[in-house]
Amino acid sequence: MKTSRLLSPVFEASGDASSSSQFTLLELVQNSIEARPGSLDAETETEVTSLSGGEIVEMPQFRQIESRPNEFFAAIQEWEGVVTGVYADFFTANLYDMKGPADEISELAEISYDDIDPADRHKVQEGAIFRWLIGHSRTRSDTFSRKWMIYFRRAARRPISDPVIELPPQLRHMITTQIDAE
Amino acid sequence: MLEGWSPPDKSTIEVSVFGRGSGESIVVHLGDGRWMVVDSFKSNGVPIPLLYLDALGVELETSVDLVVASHWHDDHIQGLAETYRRTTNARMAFPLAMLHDEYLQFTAVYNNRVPTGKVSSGVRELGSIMSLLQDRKWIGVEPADAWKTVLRYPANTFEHGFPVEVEAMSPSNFDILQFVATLRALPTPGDIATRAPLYDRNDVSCALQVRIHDVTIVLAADLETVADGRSGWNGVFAAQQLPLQPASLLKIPHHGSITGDHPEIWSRLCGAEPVTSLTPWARGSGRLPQRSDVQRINQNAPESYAAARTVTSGDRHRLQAVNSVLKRTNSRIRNIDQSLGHVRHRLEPGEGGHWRTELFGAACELRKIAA
Repeated sequence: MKTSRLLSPVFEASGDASSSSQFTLLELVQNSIEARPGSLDAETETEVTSLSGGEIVEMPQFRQIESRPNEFFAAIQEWEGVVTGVYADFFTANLYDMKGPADEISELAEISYDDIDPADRHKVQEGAIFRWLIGHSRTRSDTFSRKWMIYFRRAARRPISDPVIELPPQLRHMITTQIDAE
Repeated sequence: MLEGWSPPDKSTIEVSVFGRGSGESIVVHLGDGRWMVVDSFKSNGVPIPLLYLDALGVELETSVDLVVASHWHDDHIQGLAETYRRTTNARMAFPLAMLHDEYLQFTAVYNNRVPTGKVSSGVRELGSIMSLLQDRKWIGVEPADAWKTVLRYPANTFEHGFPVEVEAMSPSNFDILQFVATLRALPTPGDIATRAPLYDRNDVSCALQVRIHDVTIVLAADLETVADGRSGWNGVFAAQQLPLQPASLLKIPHHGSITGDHPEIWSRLCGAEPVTSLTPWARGSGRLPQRSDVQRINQNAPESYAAARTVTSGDRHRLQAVNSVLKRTNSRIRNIDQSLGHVRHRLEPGEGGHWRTELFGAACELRKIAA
């Protein structure tokens, strides 16, 4: 008996990666490995096991082997971006270097739709947040190449954590009187 | 910190305009070590008003009397919450519409939708200011709309002896209503993480005039001219409440754009040949000012300055491997110029004198800007 299971390649540009919004692609790959210790890629030998009822069955003995993704990717440049304009052949974006300070734009980009996964085309909308990674990949067969990927992030679904702003009654009355009474 | 910074004399009025590839902040010395701050951006994580005032040795807790958020766009507001947090005795002014329920709800929704990263929701900074105000029991809040005085000192408060008044010229009631109606009409956000949608019209910007005796300064924020006579600059000029004394110093509206201009800025609001400053701006493939903007402004105000020479620069160092990948894409990247610039205008009030202007860092005469 021999079974095999290959890990899905996570390298390919895909919106699925955005479901784990806290992680870089590299972290996603690492987590993927951690989640599958000793994958059931079984080189098996049989073992005779006695069950409580006295029945004798043959059980495969699984030999744990180290699992590896088909392709390993290491980012050497990572930006977070915000779409600022959507045009026929490209979109414009502000880029924030992930190694730079928060909220400080480092670069402006015009990104061709040719450079994103066609399945993500509908996600390109003004204000959409994405990650752009450039790095190198190495396959199981040790082929080295430089690649990039762009993926769009999913909205966070955390509970409202900011303090609720409540105006004092007098101020609230002044605001609503001035605006809503118009 | 830029080389050459030094504090003004007690009686000297100072208007300092700071800029970078994209970012605007203004710091004003009213007299006797009293300061006000309008807008902020950050340089290497530090809010520019704090960088400057700390460098001058100003005691932030007691010497800054007013902090103003002219509006909530990124290039004007980054670092303003930190600035307000450190200036514990300052009054805090921002467009009145930002206290409306619709805006507060809009802020809460987007602050909780943007995943952790380098990009903020676009409304977090003002949300943080609101939280600080709430902690301070809303003492010192100045919801601003057209012709509201947000700061006033009587005569003889300062060594120069003159009264000081800071008045909002906008937004008009009409613009506030339009803004609230726009928020109400926003669709429910979907599954994709997005920043708060930009309200691209700048007609809820809070333009200010600062009057010190015979000196009038206009800090025009990003106010623009739109077709409706009740909106933007048209709303200002319809009000017939312009300063008795034309402005001698103008912070040019909306980064020098044609939409920020209005004929009456030059014919009514300002005196003959005012001194002007602007900050550049960039987003996506757009940039301001354009060459035609520079020519137009210089025709009206030959003595004009820019707080930064360029918006983008091509000399950012990247790994060769990154450049080689970028060359294989069909996309294009331009680097934001991070060089800080500072235009410093100083004047002794009451002497009918001329503004003395000094340039620091990346600042330049407007005609020399790389438009």
